[in-house]
Amino acid sequence: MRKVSFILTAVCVVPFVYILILSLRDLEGGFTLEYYYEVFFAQSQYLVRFWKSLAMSVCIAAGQVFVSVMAGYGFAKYKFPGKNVMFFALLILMIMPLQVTLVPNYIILDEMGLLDTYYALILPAIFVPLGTFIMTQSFKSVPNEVIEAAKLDGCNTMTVICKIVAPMNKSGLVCTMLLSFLDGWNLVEQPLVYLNEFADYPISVALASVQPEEPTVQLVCCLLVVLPPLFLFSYCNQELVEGIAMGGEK
Amino acid sequence: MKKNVLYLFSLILYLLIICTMLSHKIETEMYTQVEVSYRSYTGHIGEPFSSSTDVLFEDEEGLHLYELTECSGWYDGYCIQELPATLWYIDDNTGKIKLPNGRNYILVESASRFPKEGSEVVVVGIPKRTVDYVPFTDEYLVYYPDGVPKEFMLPENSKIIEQSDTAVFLDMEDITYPFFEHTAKQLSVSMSEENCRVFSMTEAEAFLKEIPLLAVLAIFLVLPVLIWMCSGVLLRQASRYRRLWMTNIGMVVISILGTAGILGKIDFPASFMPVSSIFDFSHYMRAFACITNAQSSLEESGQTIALLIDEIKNEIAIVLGIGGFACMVVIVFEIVMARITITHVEKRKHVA
Repeated sequence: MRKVSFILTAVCVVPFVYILILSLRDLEGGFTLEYYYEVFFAQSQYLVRFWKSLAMSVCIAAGQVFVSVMAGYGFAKYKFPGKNVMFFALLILMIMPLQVTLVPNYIILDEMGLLDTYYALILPAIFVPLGTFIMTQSFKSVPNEVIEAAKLDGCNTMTVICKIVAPMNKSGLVCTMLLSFLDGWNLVEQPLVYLNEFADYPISVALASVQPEEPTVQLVCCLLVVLPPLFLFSYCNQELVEGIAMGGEK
Repeated sequence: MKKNVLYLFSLILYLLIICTMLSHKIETEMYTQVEVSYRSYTGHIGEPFSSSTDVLFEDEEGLHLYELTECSGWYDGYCIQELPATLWYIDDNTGKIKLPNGRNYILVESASRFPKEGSEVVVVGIPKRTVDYVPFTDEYLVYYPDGVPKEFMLPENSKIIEQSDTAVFLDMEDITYPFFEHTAKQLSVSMSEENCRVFSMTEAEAFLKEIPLLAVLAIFLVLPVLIWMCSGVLLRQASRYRRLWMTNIGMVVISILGTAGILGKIDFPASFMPVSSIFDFSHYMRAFACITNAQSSLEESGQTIALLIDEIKNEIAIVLGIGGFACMVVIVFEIVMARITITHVEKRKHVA
C-alpha cells in the first residue's frame, strides 16, 4: 500500500518538479534565471494578467458561495411546490457539459450587452449549480431543532443562515469556495467565446499564446499560475476532504 | 500546518505585488526611445516618393529602415517593424530613399539603442519643424580609448571646452533631445569611429542622481521582509499577538505604498539603459569607466563627475545608515510589543 501511495504521489509531483527544473535551464542546458527575470521583472503583462485573473476568480468564488448558500438553504430547509422538480433540474444542469450552454449564454449576454466584458465571464460562473448541490447536502445535516431554537430566540432567516447554519457547515462552504475558484481560474472556453480582445483574456487562455520560441517562459508562467490553487489546497485541505465526503455520503 | 501555509504564502503575495510594481517600472525604463518622422501619402499611386537617408540604420549586415506600428498580441502600444529591403531603395541621382506610394509611413529617425524588430518603443521628442520645438543645449564627452584623432572635426553648433589625449569635452547647441548616442555619433565623421563613445553630461548626472533613490527603494523592499521574519517568531502563539499582526500588516502596506511612491520618482535616462536586462551591471560599469577615464584626463572639466560621484556616495551612505537604523527599530519594536502583549495577556489570565 505504501509503495502504491508513493508511486501515485510521484506521478502527481514529478511533472511539477520537472517544470521547475526546466524553467531554470537555458537552451544549452546550463543554469539561468533569465526566464524568471523575463516573467517577473522585464515585462509586467504576465503579472498584470495574473492579478486580473485572480480578481475575476475571487469574484466568481464569492458570488457562487453567496448564491449557493441562499439556494442551498432554501432547498434543504423549505418545502415549496416544484422543489423536487427544480432540484432534479439542478442535477441535470450539473452533469450537462459546458458546451451545451455556451451558445444560449452567448445569446443572453449579447441581449444584455455584456459581451466583451468581464461580467460575461463572472455572471454565468456565479450561477453554476454544483455549489448549490454541495450546500444543499451540507445544510440537510443541520438539525431543524437548532433552527427553531434560534427563531424562538428572535433570529430572522438571514441571522440563522449567517450565525448558525453557515458556521456549522464550514467544510461545505470551503469546498464550494475552492471548487468555484478553480473553475474561475481555469476558464478557457468562455473567454475565447465571450471576449474579443486578446488583451482581456485571463492568464489561463493567454498562456497558450506565449511565443513558441520562448517555451521556457511558458514554463515559468505555469509555475506562476499554479500558486493560487496551491495555496488554497494547502490551506483548505481538511475542509475540502470533509466537504466532498459529506456530499458523497448524502 | 495552516499557520505555516499562510505565513509562507504571505511572503509570496508580497513578492508578487513588489514584482508587479517593479516589472511595470522596469518595462517603462527599458523601452527603446525613438524619434519618428512622418512621411505622408502624396496621392500618386505607383509613383514612389522620397525620404532622406537620415532614417537609415547601419550595422554589419547592411542598411535597415524601420517604421512604427501598433503592437499586437501580448503587447500594447507601439513596436518597430523593419521594412523589407525589397520595398525601398536609394535613388542614385537624388541620394534619397524611394518608398512605394499608397500609404503613410511613420519612420524611425533615431533610437536610444539599435532598433530590434518587434521591440516595444516609446515615441519621444518634438519634431524640429513644429512651433513647439525649443533648441536644447548640452555638454558631450567624447572618449577615444585609442587616442583622439589628429584632425578632430567639430560637429555643427558646437565648440570645444577642453581636449586631452583621449577625450574631447564639447559644448553643444541646438541638438536633439533626448540624447541618443547613435544620433550623436553621426554629427561628425570623427565621432563615427567604432571605438568612440559619446556621453551626454546632462544624462550622466541625471543617472547618478537617481542612485540614492535606489538605496531608499532597497530599504523599502527589505523592511517588509524583516517584518515577515519577525512575525515568524510570533507564529507559534498567533492568537495572542493579533494586534501586533495587524500592526505588522499596516507597516507592510505603508512600505508598499512607499515603494510605489519611490518608483514613481525614479527616472533613468534611456541612453544609459542596457540592451537586454536592467540588472546588467557590467554595462553601467563600462559606461562609467569610460566617463571617469575621460574625465581624469581632462584637467579643468574633469572634476564635475568625480565630485558628483563623491556626493552620491555620501548620500548613499546616509540613506543606508538610516535604513539600518530603521531595521534595528523594527526588530526592537517587535520584541518590545511581543513582550508587552505577553505581559498583558498573563495579567488578564491572572485577573480571570
